[in-house]
Formats: sequence, structure tokens, C-alpha cells
Amino acid sequence: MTAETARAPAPRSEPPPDAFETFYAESVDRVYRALAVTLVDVALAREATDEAMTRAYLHWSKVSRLNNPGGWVFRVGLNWATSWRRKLRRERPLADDFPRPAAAHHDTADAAVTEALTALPVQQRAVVVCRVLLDLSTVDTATVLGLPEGTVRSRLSRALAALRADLTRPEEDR
Amino acid sequence: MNDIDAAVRDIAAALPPPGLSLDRVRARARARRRRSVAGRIAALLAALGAAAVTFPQMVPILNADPTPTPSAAAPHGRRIDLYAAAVPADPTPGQSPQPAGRTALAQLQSDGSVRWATLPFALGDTEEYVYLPDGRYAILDDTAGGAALVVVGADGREQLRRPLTGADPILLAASTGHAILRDDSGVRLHDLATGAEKVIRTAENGDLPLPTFGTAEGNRLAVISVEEKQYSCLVGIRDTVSGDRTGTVSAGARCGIVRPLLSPDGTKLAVRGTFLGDADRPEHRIRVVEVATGRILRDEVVPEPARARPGQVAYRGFGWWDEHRLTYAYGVAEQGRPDDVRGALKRFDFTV
Repeated sequence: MTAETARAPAPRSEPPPDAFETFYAESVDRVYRALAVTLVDVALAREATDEAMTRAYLHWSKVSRLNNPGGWVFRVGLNWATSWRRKLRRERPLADDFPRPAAAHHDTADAAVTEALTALPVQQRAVVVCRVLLDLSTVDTATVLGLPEGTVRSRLSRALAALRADLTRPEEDR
Repeated sequence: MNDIDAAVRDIAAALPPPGLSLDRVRARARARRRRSVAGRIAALLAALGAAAVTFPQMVPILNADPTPTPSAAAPHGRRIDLYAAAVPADPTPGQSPQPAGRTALAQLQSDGSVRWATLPFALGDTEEYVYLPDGRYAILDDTAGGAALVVVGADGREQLRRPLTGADPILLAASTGHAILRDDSGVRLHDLATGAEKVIRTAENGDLPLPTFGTAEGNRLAVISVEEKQYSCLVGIRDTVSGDRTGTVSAGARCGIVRPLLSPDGTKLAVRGTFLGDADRPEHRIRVVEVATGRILRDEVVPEPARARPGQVAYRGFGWWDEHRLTYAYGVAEQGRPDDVRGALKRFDFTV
């Protein structure tokens, strides 16, 4: 069992890009933006992306075999962020210094859409984001979020109806 | 839906860039591998329907101020290092309590006081340093690009710096003469004096069923490894000179060990971890087992280490003072005020 080699340590050379490196380069921006829109919190999205990518890296031999590794990373990041928020709420009263939902999107192109999106429950936002930003089908969205297909359809439908209703309301009513 | 599609895409496109890096992911992964036993325990307990157990991220201590006082070299067994688990005040990357250019280490003294020792450079988000029996520290430094094995004296001066081969090396354990390193190729025994290395375990199929935690005393190393079925509390004992396994000790059944510690003479093994008690209730225990016979010498339920809230740092330590006495301690301090740990420390002493 014991293989013996005596070798003099040498400085590390830069290894060639591996499969994870390629995946990371292609996916990190998209996953981060999807999480930021879902969570309505840029800082939390960054940390969630980092955390989810770390887990993907650790389990890359399995994750790489999935149909949609990017979707898996999104789901893991979303779960982690949800758990983090839950923990914060449990450990201290809701405080003013907790990032407010609207704070993340000061510089977005369309404040009205942002506001309408922010008003949606996070579960509905996640479905919208999977369909729109991650370009997932209903089936893939269901797989990524661990939901029945019917639930994905109903959440998407409710989300779109709410967004439309919000966006067609006169500005002074908002 | 096209109008809403476009609006949502616009919102996403207008967000600030992520500012994330693959290097940071790799560093986190390295730290995580070291804690994989804890994660598996949590998964096991969750699967059994028990209360979730979480182990917050562990980092080597922390803080630039107040100015720590380097401690004099102390014989082994006279102090216990307190590691720190820090929770950033907010989850923004880069908010971890990294000191600028140095790292302060808390050391619990036998009289209950806490001293501070300073390492001359900042460590990453890991606890990849080992307090050697002769009072020095072995450290994996990957803050400057490539990874290097560094030995620092008790006075804080660097005595040795040696570049390491292999991708993502991890410092598992060290004794006076050897360091145990793991990377994607396997586990290596590194001679601190000569730099000669011996592979004691090779990786198979890219996965590493290898030690995830280890502590060395004298020429022996206690390791938990995936293949040694940590759920049944088996701890392998290896000779740090030959690399051979000299025995396996069972600390019981249905448990997950987060830290095995051999006594200074190597005759006893103390483990801290979560054990499933009656009705699958998880209990945090310290158990001491005789290495030669596997007989349980001491078994105590202890509180889990305190958890830090955002902006705080949780300290924890577990170690032997001599062949018969060991201490488990933890406490919480506000980030930036590590001296607070003195007043908040909870300490449990055991005699075996």
C-alpha cells in the first residue's frame, strides 16, 4: 500500500485549465446575476455564488455529470442564501442593517420592473429567473428547483400575472 | 412574456460585476475538505431526522488589534491553541477578519489566562497551521501565489520556507520532524529537515479517500479518513516516520468525530464529536479511549462550542496538558476585540 518516492519539492507550475475552470469561467457571471435577481441582494448573491461554486468544485466529479451543472449551482446558492437569511432572523431581531430588498438595484435600468419583481415571493422570482436568465425549460426548472412541473407552471403564471398587473398600474398607484 | 423577459434581462445586465475569483473558490474548497467530517455528520444526523448540526467556518485567529504579545517558547502540553470561527458582519466577500500582514493566535495557558502569539504573515481562511510539540508552528502559506510549507518559531520568526509541489496542498498534521500533506495526488510525509517526501497514500480515480483531520504527537499521527468509516468512529494511528498504520482505535459507534487528539505519550486518544444517543438524539461528547485496548476511559457530554453571530468570533480549543489532563474550551468575542475571550471563555477540564 505504501508507495515510496523521495523527491525534492519544486515550485508549482501553473496547471492547464481543467473542466471546472472552464465551467466556472462560463457560468459564474450568469449564476451570480440569476441569484442577485432572485434574492434582490447583490452582496448575498456574491457570497451564495462563491459558496455554491465551492461545493461544485468539491463534488465536481458528480456535478459535472449532471445535465445542468449551472442549474445545480444556482439551486445550491439559493438554498444557502435562504438558510443564511433564516439564520440571521433567528439570531437577532430584524434589524435596520439587514440589506433591504430594494437596495440592491439602485442602478438598474428599469426601476418599475425592479420594484414589481421585488414584490414577488422569492419562490416565484426563482422560477422567473430560471426561465428567463438561465434559459431553462419548465422541465429543467422543475428539476433544478426540486418542484413538480405543475408547480413551476403555476408559479410562473402567477408571477407573470402579478408583474403585468404591477407594470400596467398607473405610476401614481405604485 | 417577451416584454417581461427583456425587462428582467435588463435588470440582470445592469447589476454590478460579480468580482468573484476561482482562486477564492479553491481556497474555500481546501478549507472545506478539512471539515468534511463535520459535514458528513450533519448529513447523517439530518438523514436520521435528528436536529441539524452545523459547524461554522473555521479560520485561524484573526485580529490585528489589540497588539498581541508573542509568547515565549513553552513546552508542549502547557498551552492549548484556541481556533476561531468568525462570522462576518455581513456576507460580503472580503469581509472576513483577516489581519493586515499577520495573524494572531490565542493560547490558553494552564492557569486560565490567554496569551497571544503573532505569526508574521496573514493566513488564508483556513486553520492550516499546526502547533508542534517543540513550541514551533508548521503552517501552509498560500497567500503569495504558490503554496509553501513554513515553520515559524515561538518567537514569531520564520525558520523555514519550502515551496510545495502538487495542486491545492493541505497541511493535515505535523510533528517535530515531519509534516503530513495532502493534495490531489495523495498524502505525503514531508521531512521538515531535509524536504524529502514519501507518499503514504495515493489518490484513486481522482477522489481522495484520505485523512480529513489529523493530529500528531511524537512520531504518531491520529487520522480520520473516509475509508476508515468515520461514522463508526474509527481512527487510524500512523507512524509519522514510516507512514505505516500501526493500529486503529474505535471510539464507539454511531458518531462523527470532528477532532481526534493523541495524548503526548500516544497511549490515549481523545475525540470530540457528535454521538447519537438514545432515540437518535445527537450529543456533543468528549471521549477518551485507551489506544492499546480500545477501552473507554472517560466519556462526557459537553456543550457544543458557542456560535458566533455576525460580527463576532467564536473561539474553541481542545487539547492535552499532559498524559492525564485535557481541556475543552470555547467562547465568543466581538470581532476586533479578541481580548474579550478571556472573560467569556467556558472551560471544561478532564482528568483521565
